[in-house]
Amino acid sequence: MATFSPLSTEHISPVTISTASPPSVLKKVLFVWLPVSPIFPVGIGYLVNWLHRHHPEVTISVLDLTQVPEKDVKRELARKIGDFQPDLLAFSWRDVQIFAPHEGDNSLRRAFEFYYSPNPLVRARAALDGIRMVWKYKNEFNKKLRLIKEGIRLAPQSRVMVGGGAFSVFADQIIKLLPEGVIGVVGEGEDAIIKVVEGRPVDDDRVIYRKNGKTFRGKKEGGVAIRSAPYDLPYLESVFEGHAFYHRTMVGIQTKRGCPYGCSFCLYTYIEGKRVYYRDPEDIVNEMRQYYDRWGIRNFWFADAQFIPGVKAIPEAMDLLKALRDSGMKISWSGYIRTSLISPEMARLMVESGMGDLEVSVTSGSQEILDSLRMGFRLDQLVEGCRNLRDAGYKGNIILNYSLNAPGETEETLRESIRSYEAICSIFGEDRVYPMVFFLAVQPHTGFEKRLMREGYLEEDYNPITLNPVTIRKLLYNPGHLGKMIARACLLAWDEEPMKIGRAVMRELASVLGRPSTPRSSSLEVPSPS
Amino acid sequence: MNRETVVYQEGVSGWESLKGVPPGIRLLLGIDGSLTRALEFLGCGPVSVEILSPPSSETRLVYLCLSGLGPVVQALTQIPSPVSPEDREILMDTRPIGPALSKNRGPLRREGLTILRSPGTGQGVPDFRWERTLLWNRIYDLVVSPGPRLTIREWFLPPLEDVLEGVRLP
Repeated sequence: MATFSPLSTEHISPVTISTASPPSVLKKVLFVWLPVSPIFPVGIGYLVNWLHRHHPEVTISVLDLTQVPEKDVKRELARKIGDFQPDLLAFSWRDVQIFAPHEGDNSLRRAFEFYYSPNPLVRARAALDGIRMVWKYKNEFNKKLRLIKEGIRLAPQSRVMVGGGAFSVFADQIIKLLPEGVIGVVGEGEDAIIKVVEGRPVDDDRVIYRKNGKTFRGKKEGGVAIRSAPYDLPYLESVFEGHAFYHRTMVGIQTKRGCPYGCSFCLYTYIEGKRVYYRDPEDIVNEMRQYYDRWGIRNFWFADAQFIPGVKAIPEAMDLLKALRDSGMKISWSGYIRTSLISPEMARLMVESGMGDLEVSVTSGSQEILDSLRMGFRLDQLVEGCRNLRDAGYKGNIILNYSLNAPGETEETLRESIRSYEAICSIFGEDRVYPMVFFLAVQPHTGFEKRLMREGYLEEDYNPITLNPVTIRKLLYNPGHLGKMIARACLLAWDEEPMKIGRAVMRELASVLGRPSTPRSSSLEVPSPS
Repeated sequence: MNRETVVYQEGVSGWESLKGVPPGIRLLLGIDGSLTRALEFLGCGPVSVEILSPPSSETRLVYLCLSGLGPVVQALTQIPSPVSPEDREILMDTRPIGPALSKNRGPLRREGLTILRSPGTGQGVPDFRWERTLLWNRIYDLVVSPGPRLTIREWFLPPLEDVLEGVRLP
C-alpha cells in the first residue's frame, strides 16, 4: 500500500483513560465496513480511536469490503474472520437504498416519467427501468443482510454488533431480519461498544436487540463525551490494512454531534439527538493535520448535521475556523451550512480558512412553510448571511436545495421560492447559484412522518423499506394538483437542460405561475444589486 | 503480492528514485500541463476519450485512447462534495477536464504531484486486463481558488509504456 510520508506528525501514544475502566473481556474486535460506494468510514475511524484509548490491550482490525470486488466479498470476509478470530464482530451499515432519488440519479426522472408523463411509451420505459432499479436496491439490501449472517456463521462464538447511519434509521425493520443475539446500535456507538467489550449490560444505551422472539430497546441518557477525543491516525493505519484506498480523497470530519433544530423531515435529530456536543477545536485541527500530512487529504467535509447549529454554536465554529486558518493548511472544506447565522466576521473566517462550494438547504421561499416545517431560521437572515459572504470575498458556488410542494404549498408560496432563488442570484450572480429541486422524502422517526400518519396520508403500519410503486409514490411526497404541475415542469426541464434541471424547473414554474405580485410581509424582497 | 510504492512526492522526496524510471515515462509523468495534448503529439493524432463506469457519483473514469494503440491512459477524477450541476456536467463531458473547468472557474493550479508504481489500475477501479501488472501512475490536485480541488489520478497503461520505454536519453 502507498503511504504518504508523515512530515511532522508524531505517533500519538495511546492515552489510557484515567477513570478506572473495567477490564475488557473481549480481546479482539473486527470492524467490518459493509460494501458501499467509496466513502471513507468516518464512524469506524472514531470508534477505533475511542476503543483503543479506553482499552489499548484490545486488538483491533478493520475490514473494508468496499474495496473488495463483488465476487470476492464473501471469501474475503471468511479469510479475515479465519485469520483474525474475533471476539466481537462490529458491522457498520451506512446505506439502505430505499427509493430516495435525487438529482444526479436517474431514478427521480424515471419515477416522475412513470407517474406523470402523458406519453404511454415513456411511462412504459420508465416502468421497466424502475423495476430494474427496485431489483438493484433490494439486491443490495439483501446482500448486506447475507454478509452479516455469514459473519455470524463463521464466528459463532463472537458477539455481533450492527450500527451505522442507515441501520440507525431502519433498525426496527432490520433487526427482525437478523438472528437473535445481534446487538443493534442506534446512533453513536462509542459507549455501547465499550460496554460490550467490558462484558457489561447495554440496556442503558441506545441499542435494539431480539430475545425470545421479542424486540427490546435500550434507553440512553445524554451523549458520548466527545469534547476531548484526540485522533490517532497512525494507530488507525496500523489496524486498517486498506487505508491507502482513501489517500488523496475527501475525508469527513465530525466537529460536533447533535442538532437543536427540529426540522420536521430531518433524521439527524433522531440519530444524534437535539443536544449538541462539541469536540475540542484543537483536536479537530490536529486530526485534519494528520490526514493532510499522512494521506495528502486536501478536501474535507464537516460531517455535522449543521456546521452552525444555532447561536450557541457560533463561538465554537469561530474558534475552529480561526484554528484552521492559522494552521496554514491549504485545504478546501465544506459541509451543511445555514447562512442565516453568518456574520461578517464569520464570513471572513470562512473564506480565509478555505471554504469551498456551499450547499444550503433553503427548502422553501415561504417563511410560513419554513415555520410549519420547524426549520428554525428566517429567510431574510439567510439572505443577509449570503451578502456577508459575498462582501468577505467568497468566490465559490452556492447550491440551494429546495423541497417543493411541502404541506401548505400554494401557487403563491411557489412564487416566493422563485423569488428567494432570484434574491440569492442577485447577490452572487446567476452563474454561481444552482437551485436543486428535491421533494420531502418521508422518512421514519421524523415529525413529518408522524404528521402524515395523523392526517391519514400514511398508514400507521406502513413499511418504510418497502418498494412497491404505491408506497414509493407516497414517500416521494408530491401530492395534489401542484404536484402534477411541478412534475410536468421537471419533465420539461429534464428534456430541456438535463444537467441543470433546478434552473430549468425554476424557469418553467415562473412561466406557468407568473411573477410574484407584491411581496408578502413575511417573504423576501429581491435586494437591489449593489 | 506486489505492493504500491510512492516513487516521488512533490516537495517531499523522490529525486533519487526518479532516476530508476525510464526517461520517456519520467517525462510524461512529470508534465505540468495537458497530458491529452502531449499524447496527441506522441500519437500524431487526436486522443479519443472513452467514458467508463465510475466508482461513485463524484468521480469520472475515462480511457484516453490513441489511434492504433487503444487505451493508453486510464484517468480517474474525483470532485469534492457538494457537486454542483456545473461540476457534474464537466464530469460527464468527454472533453479534457482541465480546460472545461478553467473556462468556468478561472485559472487552475496543479499541486501535490505524487508518482507511484502500483499493481493494476488502482483499488476501486478494477480493470482485469491490467490487474497483475505494475503500472506507473501519478496523482495531482487541480486547484481553482477557492475550490473545487479536483484530484486526478492517471495510470499509464502497458501500450503506452511499451512506446515510452523506447525513448532514450543521449
